[in-house]
Amino acid sequence: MQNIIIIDYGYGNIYSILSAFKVLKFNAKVSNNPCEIRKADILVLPGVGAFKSAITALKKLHIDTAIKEAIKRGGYIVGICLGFQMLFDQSEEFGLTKGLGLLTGKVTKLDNSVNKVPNVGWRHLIKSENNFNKINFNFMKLDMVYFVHSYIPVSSSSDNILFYTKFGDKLLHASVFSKQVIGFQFHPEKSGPVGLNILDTTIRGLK
Amino acid sequence: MSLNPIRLIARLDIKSNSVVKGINLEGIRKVGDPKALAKKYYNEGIDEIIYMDVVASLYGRNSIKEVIKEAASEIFVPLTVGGGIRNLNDIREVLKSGADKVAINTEAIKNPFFIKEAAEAVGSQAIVISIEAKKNNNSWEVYYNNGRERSGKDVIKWALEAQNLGAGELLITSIDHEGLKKGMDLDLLNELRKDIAIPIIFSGGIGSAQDVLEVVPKVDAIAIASVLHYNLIGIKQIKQNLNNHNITIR
Repeated sequence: MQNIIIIDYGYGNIYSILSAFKVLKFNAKVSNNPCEIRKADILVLPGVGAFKSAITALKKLHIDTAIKEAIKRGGYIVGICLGFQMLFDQSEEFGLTKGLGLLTGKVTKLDNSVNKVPNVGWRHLIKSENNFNKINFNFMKLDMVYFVHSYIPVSSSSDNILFYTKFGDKLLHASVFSKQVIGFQFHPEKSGPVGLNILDTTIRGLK
Repeated sequence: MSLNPIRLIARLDIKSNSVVKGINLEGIRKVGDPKALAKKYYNEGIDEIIYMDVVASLYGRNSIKEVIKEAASEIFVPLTVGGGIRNLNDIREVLKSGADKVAINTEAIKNPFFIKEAAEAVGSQAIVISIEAKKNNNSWEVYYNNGRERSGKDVIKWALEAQNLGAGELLITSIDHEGLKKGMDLDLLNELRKDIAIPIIFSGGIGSAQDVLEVVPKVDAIAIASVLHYNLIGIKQIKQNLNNHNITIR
């Protein structure tokens, strides 16, 4: 039995994520306790809101160091939306703010000359050419998923891109997977059966 | 600008734990159970759900939280909740119960700065400003308390102000067209489109799949109520019709 923890630091849509895990029959626990987080096999980092206040809240609760220790121990982390963005080195939201630095790259503002910002709605996912041993989405028919965001991470390496999505004629890094760290800019827990399937495949792959 | 897939949103007006529906925001009657209807629309492929508590802004009750919790435990598309949101604590409570966005109307009119405060606290993406519009001569006036009270504000100016204060989306309801099932207020939509850069959810008047087709190129999302609640057309039928006309849908 794997130890799955959904991190509750006041900036996540915990109830929806927990409901999705329940429907998928994963036994997940909600916690903000660094001692528990440190020992988790799979961490889920949700997040909605502003980067700076969210990362400040994580630090205040000493969750940032607990996450890094969990990774050091061989655990995995799944970031969703702002939780995905916080996995990166830094964000340009409200000046430059440092992130957790588990993924290399920078979170940048969406260009509103390309398309409406915030980017809200259902968008297609495009699989990258990269293959990952642990999680294989190749068999899955990828329907649209739900995005709601004004910022997007730009990964320094294209080798770790899992999914792209189109924003106007630009390609965004919608999902990144590097070693023990995986993140989604979209909301799998709000993307109907397709989103639940992505979440299911991810957690099963990491187990 | 590229064309994003249109979002079809089921709007469920709630009164004392029932879904209700009126005409021009008046004369409401019960049409079903909030969870059962939302579940049905989810299974039929709805892109989003809006719960609007039509009495909370009058009586200050917030009984809608239980409704949200029940829905969010089984429905995995975005949920917006409006009605009676007065302060940051209300917003946090509603989001904690499983909503993804809150729709704010009366409190924003009374205190526009609340929009900025709310957007800074939980992010613009969670803040929908709900505007009830009624035509007066050649312009539209902002109403509140479910179309009962006039604010004196001009809809276009207020929409722009809400956008500038940090609203993530606008939910615009045409009181004149609401519940009549005779098509949407295209004049109002055309005026809004000139100034508004954030996504617009347009509400009021959908009576057929053809009505949906008519507004699609001009709007980001359409809120639909009567025709769904009274089983006049289905979500699949609406989507099929859009698909037949090469409109991108989910």
